[in-house]
Amino acid sequence: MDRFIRIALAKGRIASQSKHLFEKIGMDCSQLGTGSRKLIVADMNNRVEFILVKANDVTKYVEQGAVDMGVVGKDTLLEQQPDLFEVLDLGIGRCRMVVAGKSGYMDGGNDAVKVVATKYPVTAQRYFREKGENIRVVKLDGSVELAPLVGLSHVIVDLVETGRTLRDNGLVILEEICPISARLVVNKVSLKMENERITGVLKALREVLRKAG
Amino acid sequence: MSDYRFQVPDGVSDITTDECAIKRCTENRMRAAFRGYGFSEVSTPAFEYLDVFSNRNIAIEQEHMFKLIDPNGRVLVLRPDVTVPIARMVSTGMKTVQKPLKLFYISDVYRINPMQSSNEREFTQAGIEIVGADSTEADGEAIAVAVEALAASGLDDFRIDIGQVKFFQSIIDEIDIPTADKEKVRSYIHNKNLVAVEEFLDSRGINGKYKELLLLIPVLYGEPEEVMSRAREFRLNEGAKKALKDIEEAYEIIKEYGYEKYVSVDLGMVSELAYYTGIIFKGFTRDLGYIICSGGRYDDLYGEFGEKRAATGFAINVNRVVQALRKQKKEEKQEERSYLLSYEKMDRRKAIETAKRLRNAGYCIELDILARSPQELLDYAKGKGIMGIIGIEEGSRLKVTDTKTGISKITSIPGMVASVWGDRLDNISGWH
Repeated sequence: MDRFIRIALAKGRIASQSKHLFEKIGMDCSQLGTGSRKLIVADMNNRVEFILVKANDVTKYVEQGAVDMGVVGKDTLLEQQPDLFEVLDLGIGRCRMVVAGKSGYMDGGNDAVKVVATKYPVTAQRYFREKGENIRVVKLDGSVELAPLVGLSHVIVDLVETGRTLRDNGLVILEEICPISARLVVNKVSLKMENERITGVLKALREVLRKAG
Repeated sequence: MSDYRFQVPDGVSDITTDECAIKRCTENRMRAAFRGYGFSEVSTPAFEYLDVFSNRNIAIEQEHMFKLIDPNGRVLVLRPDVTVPIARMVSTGMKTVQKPLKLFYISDVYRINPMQSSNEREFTQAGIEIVGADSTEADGEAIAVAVEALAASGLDDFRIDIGQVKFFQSIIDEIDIPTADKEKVRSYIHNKNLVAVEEFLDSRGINGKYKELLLLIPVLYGEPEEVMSRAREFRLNEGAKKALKDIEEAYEIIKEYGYEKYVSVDLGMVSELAYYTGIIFKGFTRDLGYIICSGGRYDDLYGEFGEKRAATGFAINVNRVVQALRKQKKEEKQEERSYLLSYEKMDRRKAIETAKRLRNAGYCIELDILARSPQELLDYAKGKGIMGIIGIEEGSRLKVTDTKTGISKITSIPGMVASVWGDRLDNISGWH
């Protein structure tokens, strides 16, 4: 009997969208996140188990081999720089990582150091360092848009999907850092030890994505 | 101020009796495997000058090393690796020793581990270095010794992936892009990130053969002969061809050892380009999501310490091997003939004499220093995994109670010594 291949999905939008993808390749994860509090759901026919974890934790499960594969946003990968294989762009959860601030914000005012509020301190630091700019980061856990409004920071680095939250709060995009989408990641040992089955999943997903254009 | 008296720092841990026994047993088996191939053990200091580790050919980042300041204000580091100190040692104190030098070590190393989810700041490395041999014979032997050491530890479901850094390097060097861009492509290929490789090549207008080849490299892994023949379908430059030939020759050697079932190839394994210069390999096992062994050819390191010397080697992470053995329920510790000897105060001299003679015969004898009752002795022996309890009787007689069954029998020192020999003979006859 084959051992179970484990797949971790980042809770929330990514999980619900990637569920459809896995169902399209013939896997059953319908029980996942539907009312029940179950965190592990097994597809006995395909010998696959799906688990739901917080977005920030997906890479930890995959890196240590507690699960074989995971679906996680590129934003998380940029921030955590985990040691794993990033094999597929699933094209879901699309958005952008941007620098935003109050409209009319100009660099090089009287403040010597730009203060940046963000949930992504590593990404923000790296972006500004590559630009040759020194910044001070304020790490926040939510409602980052508030920071420039109340004077906690000059600008923010955050994800933007439609731009509505920014607009509603009188903020504008100042710089685009990079596009973001959900990625399929694989543990480095699993890819080799379970090569056939994992490669099979990859091929099937690639086919579905190609058809969807 | 919070109380840290009861805590150990992040990334280090106590190793208690059972685990320590398994770890030492694993180390000893690896030691025996290394010695069997003619390697000699060396040991380098636990801390060294930072300068030893700060030349450009070293794969460990400064921020991953623990630093200390010596009384003269110089910066020291706890050894983050043993290969570099051995290069320093060989280049200074062992300059005139005949080549090839075959050295091994089993030492603790200290790192501020970059892997976010692993909390491993002190761990034991068991490894070898072959210095002064630039042949694929040496590469093949290094891989064979790695297989042997891992097999000797008791792991059976493990594999070693072989690559050659020059394969990717000679292809990327043909393309006219800045070094920083090459490094980007390397890191994408290292993470098998086909999307990023493709986007990057498109953004730089790189097409045709190079694009096709660079997109193929990340998936060129698996069964050696199949991977090599897929790679050969391309018109490769001399450097890439030579890299494939190296792997082919090393694989031939591994086949002659009969170890091909442990080996696969991954041409997309493109580790730190500045450090490795030829064949590289990584070992892993089922049930453990990370690498247990890592090695390869590093011909440029010795030049940093004076005279250039070809070198290859590997290091096994012993802690991870032990972790894998426990998961696979394969852990073993040295079987001991352990007994607890209980005595009345007036028989102490006799008890000590008895213990000495039994120890000489290979027994582990613990004296009861707490004058416990028979029941207390039995509970203690059971808890500690001691085989039996010896009581001093009249004359030269000993009463031995089996811990498991509780059955006692009368015997003597010569009787117990003879049973050691009996078991050994059984073992020997069991070989046939």
